[in-house]
Amino acid sequence: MTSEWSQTLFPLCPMCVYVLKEGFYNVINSRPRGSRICTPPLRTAVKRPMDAARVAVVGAGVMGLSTALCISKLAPRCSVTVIADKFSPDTMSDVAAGILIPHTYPDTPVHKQKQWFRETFDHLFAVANSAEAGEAGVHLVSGWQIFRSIPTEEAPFWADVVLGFRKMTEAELRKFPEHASGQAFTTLKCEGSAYLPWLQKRVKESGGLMVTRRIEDLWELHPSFDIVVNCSGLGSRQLAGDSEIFPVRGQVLKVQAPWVKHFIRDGSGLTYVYPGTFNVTLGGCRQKGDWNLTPDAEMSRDILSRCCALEPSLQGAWDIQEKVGLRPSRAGVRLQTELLARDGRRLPVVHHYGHGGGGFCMHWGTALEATRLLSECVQTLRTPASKSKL
Amino acid sequence: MRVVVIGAGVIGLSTALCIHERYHSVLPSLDVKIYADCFTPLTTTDVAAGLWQPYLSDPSNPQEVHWNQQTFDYLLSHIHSPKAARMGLAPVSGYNLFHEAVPDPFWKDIVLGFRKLTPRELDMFPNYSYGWFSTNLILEGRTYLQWLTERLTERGVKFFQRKVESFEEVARGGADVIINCTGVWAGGLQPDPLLQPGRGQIIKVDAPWVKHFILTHDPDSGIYKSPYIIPGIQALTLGGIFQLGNWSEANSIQDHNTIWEGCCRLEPTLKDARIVAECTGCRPVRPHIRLERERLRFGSANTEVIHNYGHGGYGLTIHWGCALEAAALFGKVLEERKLLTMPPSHL
Repeated sequence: MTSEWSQTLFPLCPMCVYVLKEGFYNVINSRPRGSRICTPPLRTAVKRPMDAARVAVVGAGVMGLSTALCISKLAPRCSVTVIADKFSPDTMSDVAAGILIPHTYPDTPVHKQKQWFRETFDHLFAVANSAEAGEAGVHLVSGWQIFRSIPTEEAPFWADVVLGFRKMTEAELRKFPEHASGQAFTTLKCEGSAYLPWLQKRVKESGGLMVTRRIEDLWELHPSFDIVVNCSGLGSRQLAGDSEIFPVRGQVLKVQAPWVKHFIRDGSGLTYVYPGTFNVTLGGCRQKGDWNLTPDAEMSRDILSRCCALEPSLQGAWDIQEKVGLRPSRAGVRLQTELLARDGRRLPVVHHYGHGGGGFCMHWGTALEATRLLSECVQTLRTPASKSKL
Repeated sequence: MRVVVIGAGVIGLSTALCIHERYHSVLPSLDVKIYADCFTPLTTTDVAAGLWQPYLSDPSNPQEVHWNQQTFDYLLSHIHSPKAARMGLAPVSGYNLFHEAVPDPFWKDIVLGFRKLTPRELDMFPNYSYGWFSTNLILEGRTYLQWLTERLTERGVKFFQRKVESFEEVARGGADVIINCTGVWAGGLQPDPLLQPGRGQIIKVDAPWVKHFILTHDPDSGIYKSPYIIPGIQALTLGGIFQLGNWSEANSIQDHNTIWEGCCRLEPTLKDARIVAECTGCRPVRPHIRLERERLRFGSANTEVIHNYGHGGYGLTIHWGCALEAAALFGKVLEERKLLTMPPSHL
């Protein structure tokens, strides 16, 4: 036990029992919730170069893992530990279909959204065309976005990022008699259930660690870590005291319908059919402020009915599984550094959360930006002037 | 009126269905039988990937353009039906790739959304500099044959497993009209120097992340000799073999390697794909389809033969138009024999 403990960077609690399994420290028999859970032990051993910045990434959804990977690759001399109470397949990212069709953030400038989307698209496009595509769960998919009326804007901001964007022909529209216009294009799909494990593997290959643990307060990470990257999604309500983030509940059906090769998205984004590697995702709904993670049978019937109206062959779908995810919604993505201070202690935190339903679309672009913010923090930590302040 | 269809591939079964659908209500005496020495999954149709796409060059017989269109329209009308998947039918989009600019094909307005590839799309295929994107259809041979068999069985059409050695034996057995859908083996019933085998081999793999077809073209090699990747309902078909004159139905290791290397170069994501099957079939190659009547005389009776064979690598693509034409020829036979009491209903 001792040698394993000495390799960890995390203050393992002397009261909790840990099991090391496949690179993960899993907590078993931890103290009940609500009580001040774990007290740091007296020693934490570091097996890293003397001036390596010790980074804790909180959250192991698509944001946490992609940020951890960007940091491992791009930020000089950092060690990365991803800490989360849930890993794939139990994260919100596992529920999402992961199709790259952006939503719009009202509080973020359009050029920024376009930049993030383009960076994400380019990154995933490279994966999709490589030998890793199957393992990473990333692939191209073509299809149609259809509107019941003619949309006011000619083309969305992302039209030249996806491939082959054009208006649908009359012949194509005949497939959708209730819709008056549409757009055809080729985009990417990035499936959480495969992509997250693939990211984890790459983070571990770069020397990153994964720890299963529920963080109740970011100060738990002090002093074992120098910088925290907060990718906790809805958890930021508590961890960052952010009341601007709220859930938008989404329910989906994951079904077997392997003959469906195209995506179909109704212009409002409420009804969609997204074929993936292992199943087809049918959706959906947007219920603001609803925290309920239990699937609702009537909603499932409604989703199936709406999707069959778009694609009648889905009546033959089998092995229907209901899933619920809560989109971590906010008027704008929170990408900023906050210097926490308490009793003379300081803890820099890079916030990277609040992507709502656009997480997969923007993840690599915002992870790169979070990494830039982190590098600035590392820089600040290393300059002698700031060290004397600590 | 006893009709015997020889052959149980896509041409035989679809022609039988088309004739039965059109004439059974106006011709109570219509009795259709199917004779074949092999049935699904052992026919040439079962080996086909099933992508709807004619050859790139204009057919020597302009009627074939019309038959291709009729088939596409017929299949498209079934897309919205919940039974499409059980027919083995689904829309599929994808890429046709070339080393240099080529004229648009005659079928560009038949398929949906036909356009040229953009430079970023071409970046995915480093060996190719020009191409098309279109939305075609998949009609999986095996599934479609099973579906056709069910429809025919429902209608009381009977199937008989036997190897027919001559038209005469079928005529003397009581057939009034014979529909000859014997594909690449038609020469066994009546010599046809224009008919040749175009041997093809394919590998089926499990790669459900591939949602597009990719067909490459090399003018020096010829059709189907360049790698192609075609998604099916369950499995992905890899191919690129076309050997004129080769009758062998055994899988060849050399061809396996040609296909595998060519397709992995085209689609690197296939590196770890699991192989699920490998098969060989002989396309019934002919300069144009033989779709015509012939009156044969055995003893004192005239027997009408309607030939419908020689569909090369585009049988599934053109089958329904040919079935409609064969049914029209059959209708003429009925008119000549004054058997029709009223015009046939057009479905």
